[in-house]
Amino acid sequence: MNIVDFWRIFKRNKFGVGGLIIILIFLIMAIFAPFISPYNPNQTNPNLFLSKPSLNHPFGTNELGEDLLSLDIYGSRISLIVGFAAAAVSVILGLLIGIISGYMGGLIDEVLMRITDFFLVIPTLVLMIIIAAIIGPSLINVIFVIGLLSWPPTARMVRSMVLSIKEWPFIESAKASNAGRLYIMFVHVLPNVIPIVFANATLAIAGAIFSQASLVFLGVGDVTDISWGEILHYAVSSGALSAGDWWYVIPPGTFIVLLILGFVLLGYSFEEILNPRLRRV
Amino acid sequence: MVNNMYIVEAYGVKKYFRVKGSFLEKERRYIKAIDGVSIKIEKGEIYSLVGETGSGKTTFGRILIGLIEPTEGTVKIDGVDIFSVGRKKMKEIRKRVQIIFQDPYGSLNPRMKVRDTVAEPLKLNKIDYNDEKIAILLEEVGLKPASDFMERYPHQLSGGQRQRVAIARALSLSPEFIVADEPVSMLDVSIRANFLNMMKELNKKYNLSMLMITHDISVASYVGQKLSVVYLGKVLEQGEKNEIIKNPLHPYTKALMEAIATLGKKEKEVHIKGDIPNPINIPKGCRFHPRCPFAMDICREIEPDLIEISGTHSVACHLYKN
Amino acid sequence: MININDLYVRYKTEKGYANAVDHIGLSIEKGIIFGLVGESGSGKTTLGLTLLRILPPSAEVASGSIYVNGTDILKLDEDDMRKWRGKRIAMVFQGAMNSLNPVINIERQVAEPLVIHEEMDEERAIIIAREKLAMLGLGENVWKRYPHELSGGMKQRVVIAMAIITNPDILIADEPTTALDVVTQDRIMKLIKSLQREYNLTTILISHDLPIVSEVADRIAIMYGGKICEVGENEQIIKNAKHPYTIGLLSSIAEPGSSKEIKGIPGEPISLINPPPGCRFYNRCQFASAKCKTYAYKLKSIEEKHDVYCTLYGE
Repeated sequence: MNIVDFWRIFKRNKFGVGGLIIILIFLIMAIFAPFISPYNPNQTNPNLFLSKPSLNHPFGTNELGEDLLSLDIYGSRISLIVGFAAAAVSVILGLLIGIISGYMGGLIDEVLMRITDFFLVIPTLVLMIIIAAIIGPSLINVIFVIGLLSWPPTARMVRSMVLSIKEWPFIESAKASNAGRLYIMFVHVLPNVIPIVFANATLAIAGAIFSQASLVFLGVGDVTDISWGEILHYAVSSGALSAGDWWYVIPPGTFIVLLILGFVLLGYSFEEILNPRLRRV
Repeated sequence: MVNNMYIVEAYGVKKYFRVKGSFLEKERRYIKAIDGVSIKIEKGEIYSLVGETGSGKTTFGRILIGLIEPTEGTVKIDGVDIFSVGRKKMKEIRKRVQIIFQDPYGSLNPRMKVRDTVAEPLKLNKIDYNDEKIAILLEEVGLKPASDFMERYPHQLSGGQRQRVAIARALSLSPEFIVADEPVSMLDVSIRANFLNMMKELNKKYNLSMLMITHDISVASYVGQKLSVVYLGKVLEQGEKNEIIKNPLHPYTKALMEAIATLGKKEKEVHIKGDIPNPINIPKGCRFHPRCPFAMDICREIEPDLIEISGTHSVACHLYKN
Repeated sequence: MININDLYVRYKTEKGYANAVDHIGLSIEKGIIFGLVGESGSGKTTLGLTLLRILPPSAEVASGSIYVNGTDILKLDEDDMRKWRGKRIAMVFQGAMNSLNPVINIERQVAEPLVIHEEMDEERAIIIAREKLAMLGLGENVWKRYPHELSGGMKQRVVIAMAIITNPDILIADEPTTALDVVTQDRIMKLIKSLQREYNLTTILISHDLPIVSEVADRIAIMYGGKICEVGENEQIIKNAKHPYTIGLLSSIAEPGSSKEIKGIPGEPISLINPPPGCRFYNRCQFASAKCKTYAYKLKSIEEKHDVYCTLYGE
């Protein structure tokens, strides 16, 4: 299916279009943050300690007097960056491992799948916390930790797809023409697996956003970069939450939910479109 | 190089697949997909291999071009034993033999354009080519004008067109031998004729030898010069096509000929009992005996060898002893 | 007994409507084997599904009627239709042998239609199921087995047993022998013939395989592009075919032992979506002329019981 056909079907999918709109809104928020946000988010003002929402500060201010609306707007950046980057790492790893495991079979398959099982069984968040605590909480580290620990579901899915693809006659055809294993894996198998991975990748982004927010909230991520998780972290540590300052907590929480929802809807629509059996005519 | 009359020779080819049994099973069980098949295909000849499901014909085709290694037996391509040469020599041989498959919907990579699919063997074997050469190949198999087809993806082609692309691809390396595994069984009847006629033409024009694997005797009788009837991994009857069809000797071949549907209302009597057994449990003695209306005591004990009745007709059956 | 009038069934697709059954009319007498022959994309399977009203959601019966013994079954509401479907009209689908329930044994599966349609208790139903199975050549050693233990031919017979156990008036068999070996194909066809003889069962045999159909069918209709090309008695179609498509089809059949060159039909079948006006076979027909482009599919009777839809025989 080419792009034109895909778009035509996608346009009519309400979930997909809805999800896409949500994501686009946040993308615009992130890209144009300096122009949209009313204040420099790092501009402190000790007089405005945890002030309530007002005309000047629609979302109020935090314990340093920084404008929360601006912080919330800038927070979209880290969420999106980490979301895409960590998902990319996880999907690429999942693809590689899934294809190699599925196509080569035998001992390689056994070993790789046992490793995958290991990661599937361990509570990833706990492991993420431990590793992040050990290697240090920089942005790059967070991306890698999330990516490195969320590839197993993708790998499993890719592997089962590869198991069926490798029985198709065109693979034998390639072998009969002297194609080597690596060639077949990356020229024949990979392109046929990628469409399926699309839906999965979108959901991986959603997962990564959530993981990042969780890590930072728990104090393990980099708490100097502005992100929604970080805002929530300080909402708790500054006592704002226990004081009942809902305006500190609700916006970043809602934004996290909305952004994740956007990707989930998009991923759901991809699944529907790429798997014709799920499609409702 | 010795001037060999045969492009392909198979001697005593066997392929057994191990059945994964439980830990406690003492005896290893095997599916004897091919149980001793010998065939010689002359250069420029179309040879038909007729068999039903479970006959092992598909596995045999793949062994002949080196895609599967036999458990026992030798396969020679133009005199060279393909399973005892090194990898490099094997790659050379692969260029001379090709295969096309039954399923037009799985034979082509759905994400590759027609041009790339047809050109791939050339690319893989580092042979120079250009668009013109690809176009010639496409027109050779009846996809005219080639420019209409070069940029298309498989899902934009019909089943018959896809099979033609598969042949164009197989022809790209100018092979001397092609295995065609049920090439028309998934095509509409009105398309089959054109396709089979094209194969006959290619055979004549390029002296291209072929092994036509089919379950349909009508197809086998239309294209081939020689014929082998396979049942549960063994050849039961073999020889010149016209002779076998006019005068089938083996009870199985006779039953197949009786069973074929032909135009017009009729009452048919087919002399055969039961169903094809599971290849895991091949009957003792003559593997056809449980279904044979003429089975004798000897048939239950001893497997008959393939005996030459005439220069052009051999049969493996105790009914025929010299 | 079955009268199909001006039936128009179409599928909604992304590219428009696919006219699978394009305003066709047919009459099928009681007790005959009626062969409906067409290649892929001819609409024959859709016709079969329409007779049972089990079309997929993307299909609609846009117009027409199907009278079975005086009742227009297209006008029945779903509750009434259920009394027909599976009970008075039964269907054996393409590949049905692969849709047997793998975890229920044979006798219980065959008994199921009786339990559902006639609210019979299972014990009695199983007794009848065993009778029917035995009649079809499946003895005691099969009754308690499971589908995966049976061969393709045996499974197909089980499916047929399930279809006829309620003693339907009409049996629709869609490609009942595809993917089966030659010997089994012959047996299934003989089975269908014997059912006709013993029960006067009206059978509609849908297939792309003209030789197989012609060995048992009393009447044969040839379909192409959603339209009927020709319909007539068995011998009339096989020996005296008039429609160029039928003639082309007959010439494509290879008979072993004959050295005759087989000719196919050039070109590809047309799409059912937004077909061109006039004759659907126009672009592949060797006798095509300008008037074919505006042909309105008026019936022409060649001889008694033999009709053709072609401009060669009158407008």
